[in-house]
Amino acid sequence: MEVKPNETKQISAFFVFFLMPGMQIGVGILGFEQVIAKEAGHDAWISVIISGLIINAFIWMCYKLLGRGPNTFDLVAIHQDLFGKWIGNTFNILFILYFIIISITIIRTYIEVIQVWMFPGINVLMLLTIILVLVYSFVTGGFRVLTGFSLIGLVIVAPLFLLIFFPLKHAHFGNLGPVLDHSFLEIMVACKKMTLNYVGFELLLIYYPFIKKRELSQKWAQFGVLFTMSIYLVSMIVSTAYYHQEQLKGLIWATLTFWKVVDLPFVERFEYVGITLWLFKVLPNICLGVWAASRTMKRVFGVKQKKMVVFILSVILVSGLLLDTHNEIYWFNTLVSRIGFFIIFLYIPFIFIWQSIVYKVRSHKP
Amino acid sequence: MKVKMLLIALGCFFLTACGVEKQILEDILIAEIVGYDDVGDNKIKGTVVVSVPQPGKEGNIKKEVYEAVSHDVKAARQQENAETPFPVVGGRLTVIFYGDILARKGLNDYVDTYRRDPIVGRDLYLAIVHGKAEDLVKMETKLIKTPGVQVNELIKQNIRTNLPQVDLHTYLYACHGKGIDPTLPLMEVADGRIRIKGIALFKKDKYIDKYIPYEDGFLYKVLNENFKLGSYEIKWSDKNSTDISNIKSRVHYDITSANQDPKVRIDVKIKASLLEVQGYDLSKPVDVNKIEAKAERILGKKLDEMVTMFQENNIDPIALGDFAKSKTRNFNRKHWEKEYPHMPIDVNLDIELVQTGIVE
Repeated sequence: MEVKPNETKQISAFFVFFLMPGMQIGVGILGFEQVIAKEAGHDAWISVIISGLIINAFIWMCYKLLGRGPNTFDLVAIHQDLFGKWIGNTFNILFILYFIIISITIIRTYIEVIQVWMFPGINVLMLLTIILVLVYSFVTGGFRVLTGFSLIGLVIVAPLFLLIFFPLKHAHFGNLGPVLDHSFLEIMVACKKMTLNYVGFELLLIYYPFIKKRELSQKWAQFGVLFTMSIYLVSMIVSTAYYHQEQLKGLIWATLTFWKVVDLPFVERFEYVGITLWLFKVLPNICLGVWAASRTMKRVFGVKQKKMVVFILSVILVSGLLLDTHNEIYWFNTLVSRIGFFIIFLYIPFIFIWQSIVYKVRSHKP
Repeated sequence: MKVKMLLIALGCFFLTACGVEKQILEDILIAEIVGYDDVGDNKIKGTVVVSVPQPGKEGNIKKEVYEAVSHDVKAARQQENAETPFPVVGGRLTVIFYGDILARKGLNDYVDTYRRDPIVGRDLYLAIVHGKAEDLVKMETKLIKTPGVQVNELIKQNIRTNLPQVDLHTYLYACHGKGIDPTLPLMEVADGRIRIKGIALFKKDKYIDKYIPYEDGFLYKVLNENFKLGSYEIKWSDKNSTDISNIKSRVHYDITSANQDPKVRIDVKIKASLLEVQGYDLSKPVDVNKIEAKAERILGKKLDEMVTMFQENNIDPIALGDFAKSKTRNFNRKHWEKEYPHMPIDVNLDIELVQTGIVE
């Protein structure tokens, strides 16, 4: 079984820093404020920090998981090692489905943004096809291409993060007080809701073999998550200061609405520029999701990855068309959020503990 | 393979265009300002000024007015299209006016579409018209001033001195928020010109038929925010007055025991310069201390009156309730709202004349 990819396909440890936000920051950031403000009000920013730190702990867990056994350098190998071939592969298939539905959520939510904000009458089938053709060409380029694309995507949208300056002019920072006015439970519920926005780090379990000098990459993975967290934190604090709580609770896309405030002499509606540029942030997301799904399929079934990519993309195309109204998309998002929560907060610790037990038992055997 | 891919990609590009509605500048009418009036029977009358680009001419834009009567804002837009050669598009709206009768009934129903529609920006102004919005909107077309829109610039320049921030976002912020009430500029048509009459006061989205006169707008701004411009006339005696110009004004609210018996102290610090003095002795320098004391007394009294007026009408345009909430743990809003009309609010005014101009 191939575990170690050719060195020409590997990436330096440093690039894990870009892969983390590359997968984590996607469509969620355009409107996550509303969801967590509903739970924790003006203390929502605390939840952003807490959940970010929890993710740091989970990354540490992932690295522990990956290095411990013989040749268990990715999730497929870990599953097969711990549960045997059949049960292990069942888990693998569940993960394949998980990566596919994440990709569906991202692409469909992005198209919904285009429908609501720019072109209500746009042909969803055609837009989906264009994006998926792009995804195909990137994913078949291999993992190195995707890493580069994550980096470039981040660089291209970086100026958009600076747009936070415009709402700051009308910000009421008094809105943040009094700090910790919500109960511990409310803040933890908000943390739970925040998870969908950090989902994506678990891809590490798939692309780990592709990292050169893997042991050194943990530092960069942790920094990457901290970077993601700081972006979310700034958006959360600024939207708490800029909107009134009651107003924020009714806004579906708070970050996008920031771009409406941007007042430049040469662009009347900046959100058109912003949404268009955001494709460069969304595409690496989808590509990495599809890549992870197809890579896992290849490892499990031993088939050609390219064929699997075509199969996955057609599944995404059909499901993207089936989700039609905002409520359906919202429902699907919530569903994926729940599954993501389950995977991160329950499954990863479970498999971590299970692995510890298994290895302890094995080491006692002569 | 590559050719095939290219063909697929190209095919997609050509087909996608089908779903998108094109908006070519010459084929649309850009709405610039719009006014709404109550015409009874739950109907409103919308009046819109659109700019019509003249083909073949540069920098010469004609303005036209269209009117329609309907139940809601977007239906009025639809009605207007019955008269216009091209669709009216709201993407560049700069000011929305509401007639005072409509404003008294509550504005939320007529602001909602601007809040909801992604095509509308957030930096457009809302304003109330003393009388009919229709008259003001029609006046705008007579005051041709290119580029830009006269009323928009009128409001914009006054926001620096006499008006609070009055854009759509600020209105929505105050309307959603508990413990804040919005304010909007009150406009009127006088002698063939558009002028600002003052600041219209609201209880939530309802105009309470009271306003702060234009010249006292400076005082309202002093109470409401930190700012750097504006000037105010202090009546010195019957025929003499002194004018001070604001260099920097700082306001700070201090609220104690908001959940039991609330007390509010508003500290206002103005650094000012002397603009104009009447009836003084040429041979002596002006007595800065005397002017400061007098100004503090007169302005302080005015500020007190203004705050008392807010309390009497049970409105909170300077957002004391919101401030109290952000400073108090487990804030009891019901208690605050009950106490608000008769809680003691002290205004401490400190005016410092830092310069007297280029003469003593």
